[in-house]
Order: sequence, then C-alpha cells, then structure tokens
Amino acid sequence: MNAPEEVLKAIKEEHLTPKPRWHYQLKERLLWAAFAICVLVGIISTGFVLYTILENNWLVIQDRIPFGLDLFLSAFPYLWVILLLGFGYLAFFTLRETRSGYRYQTASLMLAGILLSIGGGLVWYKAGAAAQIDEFLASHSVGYEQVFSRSRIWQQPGHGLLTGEVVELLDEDDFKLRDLHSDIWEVSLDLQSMAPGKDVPQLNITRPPVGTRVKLVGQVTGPLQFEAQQILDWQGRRGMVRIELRSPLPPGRMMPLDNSLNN
Amino acid sequence: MSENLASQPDEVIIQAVFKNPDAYLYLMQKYQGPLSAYLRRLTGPEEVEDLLQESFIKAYSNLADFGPPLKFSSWLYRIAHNTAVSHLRKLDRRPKLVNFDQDEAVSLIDRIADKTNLPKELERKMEAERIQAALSKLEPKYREVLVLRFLEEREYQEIADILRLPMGTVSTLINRAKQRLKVILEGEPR
Repeated sequence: MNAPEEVLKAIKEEHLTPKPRWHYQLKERLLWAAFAICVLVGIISTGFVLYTILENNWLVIQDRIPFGLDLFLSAFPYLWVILLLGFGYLAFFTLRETRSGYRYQTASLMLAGILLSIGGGLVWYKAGAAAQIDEFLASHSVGYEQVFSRSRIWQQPGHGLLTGEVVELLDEDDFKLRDLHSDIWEVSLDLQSMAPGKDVPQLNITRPPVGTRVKLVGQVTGPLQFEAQQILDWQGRRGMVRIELRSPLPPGRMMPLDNSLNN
Repeated sequence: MSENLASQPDEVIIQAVFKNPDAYLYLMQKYQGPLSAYLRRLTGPEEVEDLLQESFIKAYSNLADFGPPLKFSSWLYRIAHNTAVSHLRKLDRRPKLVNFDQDEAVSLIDRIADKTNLPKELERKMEAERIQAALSKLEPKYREVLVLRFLEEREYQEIADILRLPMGTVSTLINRAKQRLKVILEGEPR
C-alpha cells in the first residue's frame, strides 16, 4: 500500500475530518483584532510622546536646565516610548501571522507603522485626548505623575521649576501650592519681574483661583518657600496672574500689563 | 468516485473532498511524486514516507484553511516544508539538502548557470561530487530557495508563499545564494 492509500485508510479508520472553516476565520479575525488594538495603543503612545515633547515650554525649561543628560532624563517619556516599541513589535508580529501578512516587506511595514503612528498620534494629541488622559492617570494612579508624566520636568525646584495645584490664597498676593510630592509650598510673587518698574501698591493683582493647576518659574527662597517670576497655565503657555494698574477708571476698565499674560 | 475528477483543477477536487474523503486520493496521487522529491531533498531518503503521510494528514485536517490567493501546490509545499523543518528540529538537525543525487546537483548548477555568469568552462568541468560539496556549504536558507527555484521550478511568488516570506526577500535570497555558490565553486580545488 502506498502513501496516499495509507493516508486515506487512516482518515477513514480514525474518522478524521477537516477542521471547520469558521475555526480559521475566527483565528484570522482575532489576529486582525489584536493587530488593530496594537496599532491603537501605538497611536495613543505616540500621541503622548508628542504631547510630552510639544506641550512643554522648552524655552523656559532650557533657560533653567542646560541641554544635556539631566534635561533628557527628566523629559524622556519612558512609559510611552516603551509602550510604543512593545506594541509596535506586537503589531508587526500579529500582522505577520495573518493569512497574507508575510507578503509585506519589513521595511514597508515599518514605514507604514511610523507614518500611521505619527499621523494618528498627532490627531490624538491635537484632539486633546493625550492631555486629558495624562491628567486622569496623574490623579488616579499612584506614582504615575512622579515617574511617567510630563509634569516630572516641572518638579525641579532646585532648577527653579515647580508645578502643582493652588490650595489656598494667602494675604499679600501669596498662595499655597501642593506639588507632585504633596509638599505644600508657600509661593510669593516676584512683582519686580512680573511688572518691572511699576509701583507695587498701584497694582491690582489677580491670582489663579484655588484648584488651578499651574507651572511656576522662579527660585527657592527657603524651606518650602518659592518666589515665582512666572506663573503659567498647566496645559499651555498662558500667564495665570493678571496684573493691572489701579486707575481712576471705573471698575472693569483697568489697564492691563501684558508682560505676565504671556511668556 | 468519478475518474474524471482526477483531471479537474485542484479547487474542484477540494470541494469534492469535503463531501467525500475518497476524492482526497486524487490530490495525494497528483502531488505524491513532487512532494516526495522535495522532502527527500530536505531530510534524506529515510524519513520521506513518514513525513509525506504526516504532511498529507495535516493538509487534510486543515483543508478548510486553504484558499485564494494561494495556489494549492504552494499551500501543500508549505505544509510539507513545515513538517520537515519541525521534524528536523526535533532531531536537532538542520535541513541538509545534500540529499540530491549527482544528476540533480548537476542539473541545479546547469539551471543556475543558464541565468548567471557562471563560467561555461567551469560549469562543464565541474564534477557532481564537487557540486554537492559546494551545495552543502551553503547556508540552509540559500539551499532551500535554490532547490525550490531551480529543482522544483517554482515561481518567486510560489516560493514566497511556501516559505512565508515577502517576494522581495525571496528574490534577494536567490541572488545571494547564486553569488555564494559561485564563490564557493570558484574557490574549490579542481
């Protein structure tokens, strides 16, 4: 008996039947679903990388931390880069396992992956989703903010950078701020920097309200005491202290000093 | 079972297999020869029969997985290739591919020489033993593509489908394999 006859005999004796088609269709769909999830995580991670890079006030930061290893270590978005690389590899692997995935050249796949990640990541970032999720993770996961969030770079009081939430407004334009390590700082305003040459008693100062997340640029003046030269919106570059000249004009018609409104 | 079925395209026979397993005999008979030769080149003559049967049973069990754009022969060769490779892996051996006879070895060189600039003089003077020795010095990935291309006479796309590689990679492998073989042969003492 030759091989084909042996095989046919075995098929009949052991009642072998072909596996059903749905088995392969299901496997193929699961692979494509896994691929789609990996691509999505890759896009989201790229969005966070872009958010971390583009959303920081580099001119201000570089003024305080010289370009070098320190700056790199405090700004590099480890978590998102690791996720991007990990899920990028998984996406590549799952695609290769699909029915026709092996037909694509590695270089083409990598190029498509890079373009897709950057394109999708930009949309994700521009839609504000990266910022919102970063905030969410920062407030809901222990250690995220200190270790992974872009806020790390702003938690360097020794370099004149501090971030946190305004928790109390004090007299004489001071306020209290809780930083990333939950330390409470007493922040005073350096009005000579904010409104140079102006007579302080003549100024009407509006501080950020309690609960506002801000970034401070200034210097440490004592234990948990910080003198702010600039107070910026957490998400952007907008100045968060409004300084106006007191004037004889009716209320609401005050003359603003714009130097603290934008950096 | 109609004898006419044997002359039908593979796809028609496959549809018949789902209704009646006897139809599978036609497919096996059609591919028994080429697959045996291919398996012998991969593993040696001793294991061919077992590996052939194992490949046919795997193909039968997974028949519903076959479909366009693959050709059935490519799909079947892929199963045979994977079966042979996993068998060799179990034995902790690499594909030998030195199992072609001397005629096959010379034939392979003839076909490569037609398409490359291997010197005619060299081509003629080469003894079969030297060719076999040279082939055995090639890395398995290069021998594999040379055999599929020049002995099995498979198209690039078919080789790509059998080995699950992009077609550009197959093309590169074949070119490199030819170059390496040429270098080995030219460096061999006559």
